[in-house]
Amino acid sequence: MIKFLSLLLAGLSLGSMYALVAMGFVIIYKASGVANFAHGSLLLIGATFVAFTHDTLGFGPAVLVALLGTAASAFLLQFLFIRPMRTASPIPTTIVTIGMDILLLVLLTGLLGEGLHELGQPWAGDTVVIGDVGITVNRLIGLIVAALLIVGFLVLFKRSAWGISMRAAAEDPEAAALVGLRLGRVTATTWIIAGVLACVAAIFLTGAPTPGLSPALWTVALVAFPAAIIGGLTSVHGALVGGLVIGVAESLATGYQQQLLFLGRGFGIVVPFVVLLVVLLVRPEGLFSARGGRRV
Amino acid sequence: MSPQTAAPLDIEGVTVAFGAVKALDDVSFSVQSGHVHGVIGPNGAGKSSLFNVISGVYRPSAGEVRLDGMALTKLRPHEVAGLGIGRSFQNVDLAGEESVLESLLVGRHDLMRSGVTAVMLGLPRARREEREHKARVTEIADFFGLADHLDRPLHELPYGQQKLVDVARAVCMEPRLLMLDEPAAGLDEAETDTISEIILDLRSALDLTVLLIEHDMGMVMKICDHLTVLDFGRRISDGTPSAVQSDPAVASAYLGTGEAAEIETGTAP
Amino acid sequence: MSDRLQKWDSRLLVTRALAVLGVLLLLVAPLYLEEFWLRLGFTACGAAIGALGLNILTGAAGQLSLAHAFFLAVGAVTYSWLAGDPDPAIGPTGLGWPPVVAMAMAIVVTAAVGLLVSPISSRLSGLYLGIASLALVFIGQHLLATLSGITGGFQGRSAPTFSVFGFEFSNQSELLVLGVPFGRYERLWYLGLLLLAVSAWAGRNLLKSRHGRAFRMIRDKELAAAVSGISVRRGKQNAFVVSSALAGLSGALFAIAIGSIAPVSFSLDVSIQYLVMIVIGGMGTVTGSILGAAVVTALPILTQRYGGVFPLVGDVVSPAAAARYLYGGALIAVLMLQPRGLAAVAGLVRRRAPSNSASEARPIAGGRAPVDPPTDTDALERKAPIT
Ligand SMILES: Nc1ncnc2c1ncn2[C@@H]1O[C@H](COP(=O)(O)OP(=O)(O)OP(=O)(O)O)[C@@H](O)[C@H]1O
Ligand SMILES: [Mg+2]
Repeated sequence: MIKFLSLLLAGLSLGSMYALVAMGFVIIYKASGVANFAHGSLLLIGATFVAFTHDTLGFGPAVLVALLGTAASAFLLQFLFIRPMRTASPIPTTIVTIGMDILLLVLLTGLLGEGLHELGQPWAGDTVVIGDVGITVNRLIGLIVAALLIVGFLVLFKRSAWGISMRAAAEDPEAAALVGLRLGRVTATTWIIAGVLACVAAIFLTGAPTPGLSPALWTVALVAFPAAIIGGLTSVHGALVGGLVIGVAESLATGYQQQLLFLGRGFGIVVPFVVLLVVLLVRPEGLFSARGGRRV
Repeated sequence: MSPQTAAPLDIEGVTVAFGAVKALDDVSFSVQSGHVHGVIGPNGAGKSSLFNVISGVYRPSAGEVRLDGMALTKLRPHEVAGLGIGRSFQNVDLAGEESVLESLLVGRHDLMRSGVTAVMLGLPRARREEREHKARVTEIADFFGLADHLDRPLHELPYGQQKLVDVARAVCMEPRLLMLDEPAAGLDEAETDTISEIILDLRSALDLTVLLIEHDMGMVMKICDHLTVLDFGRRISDGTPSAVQSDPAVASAYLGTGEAAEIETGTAP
Repeated sequence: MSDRLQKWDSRLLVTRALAVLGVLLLLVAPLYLEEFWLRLGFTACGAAIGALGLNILTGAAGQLSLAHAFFLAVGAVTYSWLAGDPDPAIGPTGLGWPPVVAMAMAIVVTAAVGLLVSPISSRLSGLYLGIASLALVFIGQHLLATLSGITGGFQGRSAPTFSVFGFEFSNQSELLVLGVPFGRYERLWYLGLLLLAVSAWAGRNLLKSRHGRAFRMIRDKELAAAVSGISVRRGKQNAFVVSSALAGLSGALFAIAIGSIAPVSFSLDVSIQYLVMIVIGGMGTVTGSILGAAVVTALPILTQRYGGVFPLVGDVVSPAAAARYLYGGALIAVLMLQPRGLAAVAGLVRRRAPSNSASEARPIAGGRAPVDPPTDTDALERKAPIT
């Protein structure tokens, strides 16, 4: 039972990181109509900034630099590659994001080289025990920060001018343009927010129990994509739930892998994708998507 | 074709809602075989939604549509099409590279039978089928005056001809019921006359029943045998063109839309 | 008018002549080329068949798929296992079937797997499928590592050489053609060309047929397609199964080219490479698939071999990284500047015959000018559907 609870807690924490990534992915989808396959590179960019600056600046300022840097990178990617494609259909534009990802990934793996990089989180590998349930301080802080960010984000999404315009634009771009929404600015803001969310997730995902930053962080974003789809791809709340579901499922499958050995070693890694297939089989449009009819 | 034969299309109590908007509200009417049946009404009255219900794109929350007594409302769009309902669209959106011939052949898809393996292996029967259907499509294109353009990419044609291609594609399905959503929108007077003639000729040459949405009152009054008028999703009038013309409910629905005068005089602006 | 026609004709003639010349050159190539190039050629032919498969699914039917590596893996494993040595000195056993049969089965089995997942795939629209298909790649990797009795696990397994009716595609029996020894890669060269030619022909037939038109209509206007009588699910399923079948063949050829298979050869990266092929080459066309596959297959191998000629390559960026920069950049550049790809740049996509000027001069009403109302309405009789 204690094992189960600590796995559950670890899973929730991991899931909250996935949720941050998936929510960024979903708002980009809503704003630009593309699946951003370069999201993994955004995570890498964030963590790389911290890894390369924390020695000289200290952890706090390094995080600030990373947040700004990732936001700026996300904005630039949108401005240089996605904006010019706005008249194209979604699939070519999505493939452009794959191209961005190829370029960024080869650049960043070149920068990072082999081996692991420290991000210099002050809490390092400490753990805390709550009741009988243990968790790394990193994951705990991660869970708290993510929870705050998610609440803040949801409020922003519901109340702010950005959130309202963004939802209007996603519903009916033509009408939104007609009433004079500055779609360009809304889209740019969206990418910036997604970049910030990815950066925060990256900082906690490279901390304990993960030993540090390597290009493998990129794959984490891939796990967040199923989270986005499970939630219906267009729903921010769905992405949140999807992220948590996937995080918990992965944590449990990894924790109980001795019992799951008949499914093969390392089954935990593919669990998010198995969950995805099951959900799609039952509800192809995802758990939270209300698909209206299209107009003809 | 006498108008007294069994009604091929029955619409009964159809309701469609989008959130708070009732696009269709308990609409009923029937379409007589061989008629050109007009559906008119101001913008947003629910005309296109009605077509979408008939062709299986929208599922109504209440009511039923029957073709020769058979319920359509549970079927998916391609199954409805397979029963002999051809449809053209209000907005032609033909940005593709596809040629006119290919666009028309799309309408034959369901009438052709060759499987994937047969066409990949280039089997003689697959080739023959393709040839035969091309011949028929060429015939239909000729009727529409499109025969010279068969090899041109669709987007190269002027708007009026793009609309014709869309109608011709629906005819290529060899439908019993042809549904046309504003075929004359954006056309000039001469072109509108041409499409009116085409509709009447098609009806007699192919034994078709035509369901026509159109804003051009001149055209509607000239070619329709029967009219149904929708306003805010409700059927407000139904009858012969002259009966509808003198229906006060219709006049008030159109009041202030600038089309009121057209209704009364039955002329195009 | 006649000028234009003539010009057109002569162009067509030139294209034809070039094509014939190209085919001749390909046929005599093994007499002159060293093994390096022949091997590259065979690999490219195999890749082109796989790219054609993906292009039918993604280029023509508009269903983005990142699962292609998974289907390549199914083909490669099926071939290697079925044709594999039943009693090898090391590594997992095989069933010892004749390689031709094993290759055919690679196609059939992969198509069947495609059919198996199509209840999910054909209900998803293009972008959803793109993300969902990631699942197959990762599950595939897991299966490759886990089912080691068949796949050889992490280390992989060897893939048997190909043979047809006793004729081995290997160096074993001596074979001299015009004084040139024909070894493994000389022989495979022709096998690759033949299979590619057949696949390209079948692919072109498909794209020109009712099914090809349905694919494009589903891609461009899904609702209009359905209302025109096309079953959208069925169409997507067809595209998915054909795409899988070609991937199966391509996977088997890959196994034959390398002589062994391992999970790393079927990672997400490979799926992305195939996507790059069809985009760079040209979406939805057979020619584009072949050109794209040639470029993407050759790039890393050529930067490896000749990269040193360029500054930076070698010291600052590795040849492999240089290739990735090149094709990543090319991918973006093509989509932003010339979405129709290399095939269009090379003018190989046949332009449509110029329309005749008489029809251009007509008013919009075209052949049905109001002055000439059609009286021959009986010319258009109702016909029973042609069967
Ligand atoms: N898919 C949809 N989602 C939301 N609302 C819809 C949808 N389709 C139609 N509507 C609404 O239903 C109402 C009727 O629309 P419809 O297109 O049927 O009108 P119409 O009579 O064809 O108008 P028009 O003459 O302008 O073509 C409108 O208020 C429209 O906004
Ligand atoms: Mg309408």
